[in-house]
Amino acid sequence: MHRTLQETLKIGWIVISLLGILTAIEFAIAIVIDDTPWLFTLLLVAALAKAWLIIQYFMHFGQLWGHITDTWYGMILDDPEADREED
Amino acid sequence: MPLVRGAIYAVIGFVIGAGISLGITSITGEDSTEPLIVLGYVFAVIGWLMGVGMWRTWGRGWFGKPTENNPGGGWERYIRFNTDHKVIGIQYVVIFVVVFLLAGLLAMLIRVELADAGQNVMTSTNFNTTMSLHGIMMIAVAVAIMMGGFANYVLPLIIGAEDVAFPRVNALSFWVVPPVVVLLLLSPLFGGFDTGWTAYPPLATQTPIGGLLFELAFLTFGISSILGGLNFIATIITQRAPGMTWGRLPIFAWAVLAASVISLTATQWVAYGMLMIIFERIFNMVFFSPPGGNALLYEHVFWFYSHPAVYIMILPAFGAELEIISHFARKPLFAYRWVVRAFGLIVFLSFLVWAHHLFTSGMGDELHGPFMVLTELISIPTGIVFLSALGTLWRSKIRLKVPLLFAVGVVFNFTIGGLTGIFLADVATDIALQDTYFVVAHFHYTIMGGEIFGAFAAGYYWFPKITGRMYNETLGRIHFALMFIFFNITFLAMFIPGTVGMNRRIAEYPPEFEFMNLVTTIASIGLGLAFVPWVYNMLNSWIRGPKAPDNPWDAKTLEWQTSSPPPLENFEEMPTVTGDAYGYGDESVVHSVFGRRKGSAHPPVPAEGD
Amino acid sequence: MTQHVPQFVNHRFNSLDINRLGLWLFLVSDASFFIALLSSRFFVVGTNTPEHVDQLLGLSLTILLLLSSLSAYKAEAAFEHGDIPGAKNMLLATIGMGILFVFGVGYEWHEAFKHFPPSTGFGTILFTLTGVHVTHVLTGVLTLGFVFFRIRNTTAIGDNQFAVEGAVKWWHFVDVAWVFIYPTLYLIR
Repeated sequence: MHRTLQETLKIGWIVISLLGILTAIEFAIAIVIDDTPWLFTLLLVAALAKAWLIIQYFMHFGQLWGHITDTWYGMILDDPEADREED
Repeated sequence: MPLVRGAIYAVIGFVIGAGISLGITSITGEDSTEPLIVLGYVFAVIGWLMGVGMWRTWGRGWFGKPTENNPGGGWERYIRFNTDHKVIGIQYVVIFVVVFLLAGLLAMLIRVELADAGQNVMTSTNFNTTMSLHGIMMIAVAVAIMMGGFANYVLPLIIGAEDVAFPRVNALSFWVVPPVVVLLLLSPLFGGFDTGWTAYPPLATQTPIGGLLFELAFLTFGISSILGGLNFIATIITQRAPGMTWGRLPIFAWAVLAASVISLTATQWVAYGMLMIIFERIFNMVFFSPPGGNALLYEHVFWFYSHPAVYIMILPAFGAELEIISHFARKPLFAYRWVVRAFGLIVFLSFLVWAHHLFTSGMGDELHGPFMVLTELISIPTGIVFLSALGTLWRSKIRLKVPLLFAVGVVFNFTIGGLTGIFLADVATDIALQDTYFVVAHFHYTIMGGEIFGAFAAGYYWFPKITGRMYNETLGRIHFALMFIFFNITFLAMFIPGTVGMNRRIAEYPPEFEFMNLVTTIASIGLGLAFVPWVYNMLNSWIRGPKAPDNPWDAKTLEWQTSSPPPLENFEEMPTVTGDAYGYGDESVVHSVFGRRKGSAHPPVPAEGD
Repeated sequence: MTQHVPQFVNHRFNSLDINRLGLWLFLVSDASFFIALLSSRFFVVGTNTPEHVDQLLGLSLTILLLLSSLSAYKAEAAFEHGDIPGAKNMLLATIGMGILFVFGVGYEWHEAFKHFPPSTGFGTILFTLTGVHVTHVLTGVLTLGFVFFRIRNTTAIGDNQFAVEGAVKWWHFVDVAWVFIYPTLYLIR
């Protein structure tokens, strides 16, 4: 999980390129498409994709989940002890 | 004196903000009064917070300077920025009990006016102002007395934590409350607001300055609510004692978690609603007025918060109610897991029902059916909570103390409140009942009969823990009897004129409703007097009641396993949770063992051969 | 029978974890506010976008904010790898682009007053959305500036880590908000 600085920066460049491409696509479809429901759907999909890229790669959303997986494990309301009895 | 310093800083802040605002409006040449108040108020709140101790305990840290954080001390700790959750809980309870009593006096005033059909003591505008102020003050009490007061005090104790996850944020969320109270109490001096606590535009955009104060107050109160909810969620996730799995979490903690999710997300919507009104007032924007604007926007945004908000009020009360019923019935909580699922379902559904407030507002007809069905669906999880309460009481050896009386009172009252809610969720009957006293009676049955009774149950139940002293049982029973009887007469009598069409929010009404209104008025005065033995009991017992034992109720949950009142960081030795919190009747179930050192994660390892 | 004492513990949350969780919860709450803002656009003016909306300006603002997000990301990465001067350069670049963005919005407002002032439907929405967003941008710039000065003379990561991470996360969140505001204000017709 420990990346070098170069690897981390490379991810940054890849993500920003994808964000740029998606923005260009957004801009283009807004010119090309006239039908509002279609335009709305496509723009929403593009925006969601951009938001996901930022949240996942720039904001390290996974970091949060990795740390508290154990917490969610108990969410099913069963006693986690039951599974650990063996060891 | 932190309060004096806070007040001085607030005045300085107001002058700065007002000066900036005057500078801007003198350039743009617009009307300067309302922008001046808004900007002045924002700076005044910042000044107030800094003066009251936020700068010393928090702000200095931003600049790398040492901070003074002294959560201990004598009685002075209650009047300054203090990070101890127990202090904050008491601060919340005290301030909102005062607000509750003041708003109760306003209710008396309303009832005196309505005692007969004509005009008695107030003009129509004054009546509406009084009614609106009563509404918003009581809403604030209902939102904060359980979530701010008792949840703050009890939640960290009940999950075995030393404090909440963000103690300074917790203190911040309390100290924005005094400005709210001050603004609300000032608003009648500035013309008040006659819009009702819902503040529908376009009327709300035309009220005098008092209306603007109301909107700022509501906005500020939202900040408190959001930060409180955030803190509780983070606390429950991260601060539980070792072994406190989700399946062992006391039901009160689950209820607070559920309510916190709502206050974290939904409160932003009412903040936006208030912001829109303020923008429309000071920037002449057109959210609500044609052309372009649409007044329905406000109703959608407002109810998207304000319907879920009733679950912020009622869920912690349900949690406390079930908690009390289990401990006093000496039986495991019936259907614990189903109650947790029911809480989850209530949170989910609460976001999908707001438009049942808009059935008569001109919303699209196609939305009526879905929102009717979704609203009625919510009775399923609520019913599960009731079945759990009844199933726990069923064939148990009840210890009939005051907290249990109030908890059973919740079951009784909320049944009436819930059943009358069905008529309001149903489009056909709602069109007739909308804006009548039927709605008023229903709402008071759910919130006063449900939540406020639950808050009194919680108050009596945790009183020995909070004060270290025991209240007077007899006075408590008298209080319950008076409050229960007069509450029911007051609001049952409201259903009748409501059903035949007596409008709410009016100072004068047709004479044929006079008799039932007189009954309500007389009963409401009895209801008001019911709080006299309570106030006396609480004050007297707090000062010279008999010393309470650490665990007067023989309850298993963690807050009773420490001294009364608890020490600064709650436990002398940290608890490790080993079993169910409600394992009554089974000697092998031990909820917690003590003996872990502070800061260590593991319980002491037993010596070889044990 | 010995009492069953669980062997797993839950004091596995250090202060960094707790702060992260708190920030994320606040972002969820704030996102809820932006959802309210965005939905009111469709309620007040539907999908109508006037001719006079400056498409080129909207696109430039978007690109500017996305690029500033990259520099914030690079600042965080450099900081975590102990490269304090690199981190400070990148923070400075981010702050610069943030200020440029604020000026861009200022120009936008200047133009907007001519074609759709706040007393029109679209003006109401435009000023509210950009106003709330630019407030977020300003808080972000202030926080980043604060972090910039606070990490001046230190190479130790410890206490500073959340300060940098939190400020950068906030900045990314401002970016995410704009990702939705941009099509809502400019592109939809």
